Amino acid sequence: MFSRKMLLLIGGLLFVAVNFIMVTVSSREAMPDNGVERIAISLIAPFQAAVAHTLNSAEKVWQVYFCTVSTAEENSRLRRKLSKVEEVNNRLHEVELENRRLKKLVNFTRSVDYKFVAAQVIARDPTPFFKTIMIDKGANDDIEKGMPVLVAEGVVGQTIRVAGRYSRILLITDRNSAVDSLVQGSRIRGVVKGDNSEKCHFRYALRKEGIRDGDMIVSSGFDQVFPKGLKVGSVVEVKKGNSELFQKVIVEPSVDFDKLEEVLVAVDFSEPKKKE
Amino acid sequence: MTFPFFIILALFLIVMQTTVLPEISIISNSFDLVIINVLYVSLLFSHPWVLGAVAVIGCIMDSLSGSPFGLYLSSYIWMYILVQLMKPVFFSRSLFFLPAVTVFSVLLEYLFLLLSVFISSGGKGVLSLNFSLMIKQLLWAALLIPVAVKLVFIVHRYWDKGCEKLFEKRRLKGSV
Repeated sequence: MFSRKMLLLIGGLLFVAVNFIMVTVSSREAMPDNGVERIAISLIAPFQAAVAHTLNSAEKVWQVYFCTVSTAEENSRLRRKLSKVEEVNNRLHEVELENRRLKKLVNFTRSVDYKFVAAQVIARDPTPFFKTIMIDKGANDDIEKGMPVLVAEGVVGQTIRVAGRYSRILLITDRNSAVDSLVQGSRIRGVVKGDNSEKCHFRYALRKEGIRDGDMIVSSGFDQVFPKGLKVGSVVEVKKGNSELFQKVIVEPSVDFDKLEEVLVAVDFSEPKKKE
Repeated sequence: MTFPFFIILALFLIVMQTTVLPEISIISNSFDLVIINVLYVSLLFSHPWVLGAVAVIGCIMDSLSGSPFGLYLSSYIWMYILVQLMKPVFFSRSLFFLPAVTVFSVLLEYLFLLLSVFISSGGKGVLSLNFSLMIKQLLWAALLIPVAVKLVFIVHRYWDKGCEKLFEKRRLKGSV
């Protein structure tokens, strides 16, 4: 009755119509749930979930690995950076401290009319039984034996050996050192002598003289080595023996010799330096 | 190769003593480290050049110190003589030999120190010396100098081996 061609055409049209109706109905969510869908979902979903989980896990592992690698790299890079920053910071701190010390020295040099040579302390005495230091300036910088060495806090000592580029300084705490001095307030005269300890002795002050704790001792200038009026130290102890002519006065130097890093050598303190 | 080793060791010890250790407050008053070097060369050699080397190092120390010139020079020369005198008397590999030599050497240095202080400041000056520090130094020296000398022996051995290898390499390069 129908030719083969006709049957194919009708079948095709029917398929298109059913398909169209089905899409239309399902698009309007009017199609009832069917068992096929549920079965299909139940069968496939576990595999999908497994693969998805695996993929997710793999992705996570991958991401964590890469993240760890990059974090480790970043960590070491940051550590290197931090150590550099710390080093720079430390250097800046040192420069700041040096700047403060040098400012103090500059202020001091401005306050007095002497010609100075600034020097750095490079070494200390090899034995604790002598109190000397080595500085990095010498005869090439016009330094001679017997020149006073000072800092803003007061008298340090005097040059005892001078080489071309280095000099050795005898500190006022050495037992061989003596500085002709005065008690600032009462003008009592004496000699500050070292005894190889942290303290010095103010010798030859008569027993009758009134020296009290805290009195400032300054250089008298009579010894022709140290300029007049420089701080030497302050009195920390006074002992008066009954049968002694002189009193025993212990002086704490105004300079902390353990922390000495830069000093000034007064190469010319007899004539005022030229002010620009 | 002993001479350069001696010079480098002396330089190292002097720099340690005068520049590094004073900055470390707890060991700022250490014993004379150069004694290690003096004892080492005196123990190892009896050749006259050792006396010259010891004298040179004594002069250097005298120049670097505020001590009267000759204190270290005399001390070191007498240390050398002391070691040479003690060598035949004691068995030099004895456990007590090195500590004994050390104690005598440090005492010798103190003797010269006392003498120089006595000459410059009299009996009062000697009494004002820090004797407790001296005793501490002596004890530390007796403990550490023998160890340090042994250590120097080992380092010297490695130094010699290293130098031999270096020369061998250079010789081979030269022959190629």
